[in-house]
Amino acid sequence: MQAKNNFNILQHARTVILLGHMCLGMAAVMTATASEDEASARDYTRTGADTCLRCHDETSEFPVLEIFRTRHARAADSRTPFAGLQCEACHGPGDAHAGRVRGDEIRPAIPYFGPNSPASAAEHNEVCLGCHRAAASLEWPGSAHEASDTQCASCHRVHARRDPVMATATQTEVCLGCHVSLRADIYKPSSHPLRQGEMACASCHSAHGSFGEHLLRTAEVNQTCFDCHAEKRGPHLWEHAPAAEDCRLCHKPHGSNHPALLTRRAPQLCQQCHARAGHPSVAYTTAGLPDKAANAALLSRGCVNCHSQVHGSNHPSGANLSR
Amino acid sequence: MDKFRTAMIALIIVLMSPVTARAEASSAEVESGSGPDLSRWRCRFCAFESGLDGRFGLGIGLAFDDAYRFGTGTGLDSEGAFLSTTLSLTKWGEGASYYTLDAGKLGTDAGGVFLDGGVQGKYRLRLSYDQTPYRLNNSGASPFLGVGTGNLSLPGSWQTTGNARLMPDLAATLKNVAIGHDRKTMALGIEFGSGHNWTHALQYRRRDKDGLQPYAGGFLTLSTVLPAPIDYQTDLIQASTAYTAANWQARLGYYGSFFSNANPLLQWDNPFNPLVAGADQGVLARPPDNDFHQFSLAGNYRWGRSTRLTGNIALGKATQNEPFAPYTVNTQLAGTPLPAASADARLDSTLFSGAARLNGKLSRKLNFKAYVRKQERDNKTPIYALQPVITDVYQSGTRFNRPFSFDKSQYGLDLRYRLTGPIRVSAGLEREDYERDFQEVRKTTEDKVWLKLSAQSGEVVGIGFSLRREDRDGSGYRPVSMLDPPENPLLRKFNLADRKRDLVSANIDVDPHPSLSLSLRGDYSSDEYPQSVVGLNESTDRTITLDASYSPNARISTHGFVSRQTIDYLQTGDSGSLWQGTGEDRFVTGGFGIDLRSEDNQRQLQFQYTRSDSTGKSAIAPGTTAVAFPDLSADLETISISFISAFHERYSAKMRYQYERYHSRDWSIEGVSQATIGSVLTLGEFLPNYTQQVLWLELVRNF
Repeated sequence: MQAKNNFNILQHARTVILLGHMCLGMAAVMTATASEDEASARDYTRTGADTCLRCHDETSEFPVLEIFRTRHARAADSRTPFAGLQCEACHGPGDAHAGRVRGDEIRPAIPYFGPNSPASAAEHNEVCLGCHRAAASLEWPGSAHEASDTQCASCHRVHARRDPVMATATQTEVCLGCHVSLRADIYKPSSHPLRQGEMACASCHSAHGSFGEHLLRTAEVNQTCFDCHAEKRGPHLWEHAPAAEDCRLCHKPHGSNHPALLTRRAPQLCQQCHARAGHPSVAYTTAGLPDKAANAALLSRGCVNCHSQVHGSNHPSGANLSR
Repeated sequence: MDKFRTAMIALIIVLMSPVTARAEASSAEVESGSGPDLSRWRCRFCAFESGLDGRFGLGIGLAFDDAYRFGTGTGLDSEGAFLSTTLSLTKWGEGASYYTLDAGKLGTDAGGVFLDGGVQGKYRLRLSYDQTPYRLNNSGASPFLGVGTGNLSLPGSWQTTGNARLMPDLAATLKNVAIGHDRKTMALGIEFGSGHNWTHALQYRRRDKDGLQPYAGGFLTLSTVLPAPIDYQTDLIQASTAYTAANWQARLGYYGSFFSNANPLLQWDNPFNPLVAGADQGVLARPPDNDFHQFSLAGNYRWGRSTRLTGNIALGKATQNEPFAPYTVNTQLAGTPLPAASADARLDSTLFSGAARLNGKLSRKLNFKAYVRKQERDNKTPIYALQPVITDVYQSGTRFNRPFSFDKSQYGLDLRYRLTGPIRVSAGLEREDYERDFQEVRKTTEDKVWLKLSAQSGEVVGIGFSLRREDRDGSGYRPVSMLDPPENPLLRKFNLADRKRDLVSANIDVDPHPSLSLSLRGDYSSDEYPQSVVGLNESTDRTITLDASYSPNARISTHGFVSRQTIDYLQTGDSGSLWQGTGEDRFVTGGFGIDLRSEDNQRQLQFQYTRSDSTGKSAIAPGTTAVAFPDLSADLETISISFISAFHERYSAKMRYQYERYHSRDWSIEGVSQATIGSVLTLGEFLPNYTQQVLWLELVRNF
């Protein structure tokens, strides 16, 4: 095939290597300027969580006790905060925050994960990634959420017994907190069952980063769709090229006014790509409505009333996608 | 495999480059901090959970009406009582072991059970079973017998005619069919580590889909919408092994999908008079069994604190080897041998995708990201000389299948610069190349450039503004041969045509008070196809959304939103003279909710109201005057109220009420009975409108 011949893998491998070695020069700059703040023992509270819990009980503005009903609070697991620095494992040294303040004095912010905490988004995230690097950081660098300074705590509620973003039924609401313009999509006449809690954004998207576009779980759009719609994969004997190329050419995955999440309905949708002499080129008007001529290309399923194999046909006589 | 091997070597060379030692040394410095004296950290106030934790609710629910479409995702499509359950339990075991059991919607067709457990730091097991019903319409009816199988036959007394309106036996033989399906997924997964840095994961899922879908089978000019069976099964396997070091990670993965269809063919009796002798039965090909395997290697490498190289190479292969059906079941026309024995017919595809991303800081204020993505769909399906029999009516002459392949490449650079204080500017550019086989345009190149500006004033005001321009050019539009009659030379398919796309978005977030948050966002996109005389000419999408929340204290929170979106398009056709078609989809959606908790946290009341009005307008102008179709519309209104009261230390009562009304108008369905279109025997569905009310009452035991 022509396209394949123009795809030279060796050429692209060289590009990758070149990019890699470009980094070497920049890395020298980076490592020279990098420095780490080191906390001393005096910066920590004297009694750890017992200091924190004197204030942060269930009646406080920031109750925290529910964390003891989570896997973070398992002292028997040496990796967890409560096997080590307890609250300050994540929140940072808290002696200044927990210390006495005079009446008109503002209490110093806790270093991490508190109101007015001075750390940047990246610094906050490094706290989480210190333990969760294996699970969450491979695709994170350079991802859309990292680039927009999204913090782990923007989505995750570590103190909650069940983190809403980790459950299919409650995840969508978390995502829509920022992606406000998508909220209306889940109420459209044709939509995936997100508002019913049967699907979640993570069914298709990977919030921690991905190698594909739009944080899709897979590097290819259609492969994401095929995870649930494997029957569309084919490959078919007679292919409908747009369906094989990108499902989004005809479907709007977030919601649509037309059946089957279509961008538009037949015959208009089909006529945007098919205009051969004969029935594909006809201007189907209201003269084809049920109380008039009741046209087959317009009513019920429109073009699909005959050309049902819009995703491709495996029938040897399926050249026009009608078998 | 040569390509795969070469690409792997490239990635490994980069990952194993000499900076490894330097970066590891840097990491060691990071860990050199001195900690506090933990001997006084007794955690006396730490309320560590042990034993059973969570809640279990059991009660009764009542659906007030039959509402088939409401059953999508709820399973509550029929009037009547059902079991109402809530299950969210955790068993904290000795050491670091735990088991959680969550379940929801048990007692309905949408129920699911999720078990998660293991020993923290050692292994994790997950087991789940989940059902999702999709209910589209149950008002259709069909005269066929054998619904649910791959062989649809007509009653023995059936008398064929040339027009559905004249079928004498139709009314007496119609039987109701419910369009929709149930998706049932069973999943089993295990994750475990070996050593400090290795993690391994294995997941198996089996997904079954059972139900009916409308599927048309025709004989040239006469067609029948059939209740086609859905009886699919997909086995999915995912496995990965990953290594994580201080400054690099790598993961080797496998994804396998094995799809099987119990009815790869659908045979049906022709209810019309045969157009030619012998055309009294037809056979459709249904989705063929297929397998997909993909191996991937992904990794990243970090220099210093912020420069990372991330890469992924995946090699996949999709195959399907479903035996061919004969050209036709019309014995009067059969006789031409297939070019490949049906059992030997094989369609292969090779998929390649890779991405590399380099990002980091060029200075304290400047971040960059450079990336490349490549995707190749290399369709190795043999090209056959076929002699199709079109819709079992006539032989069309020799036709060749066209195994479609494409290469897609994207190269981009993104820079983010922090101006003074909280003001950030980012700009980027990307080139996207597509090369396709058997298409009107061999190569398209699209250049994209964007600029974003964002500013944050403390935690009170945040604004953002972005502009994006995309410009796509093709290598020349040449109608594909082998079509008779040929395609209109003025047509430009919208995915291949030259296109100019503009996107603008702006948002402002204001928190005038810690308890009040307002967000206003607007998005605009415009596509223009300047060379498309016939086809899609232009389309625009405008959305504006206002979102607000107000929480005067920890016991009261309210939120509301309203959104308006308009999508419109203009297209041109050519039926000897040019005609134009226009369309507009408009969505207005809004809602508000309130969440109240008592001071002692023993009672909670939640209320949510949402309304969505969707309208679709379209018109065709065959001459100078546009003829407008009736509006499409769909109004959805939902109200949800829930109340939880803890009347005992261990017990609480939970009540929930939901009201939902769906009302639509659709000229393609309304007034279309089975026989309305004389040349198409349809299922004759009505609009799936409904009003449903559901009440749940539960007694909850808290652990």
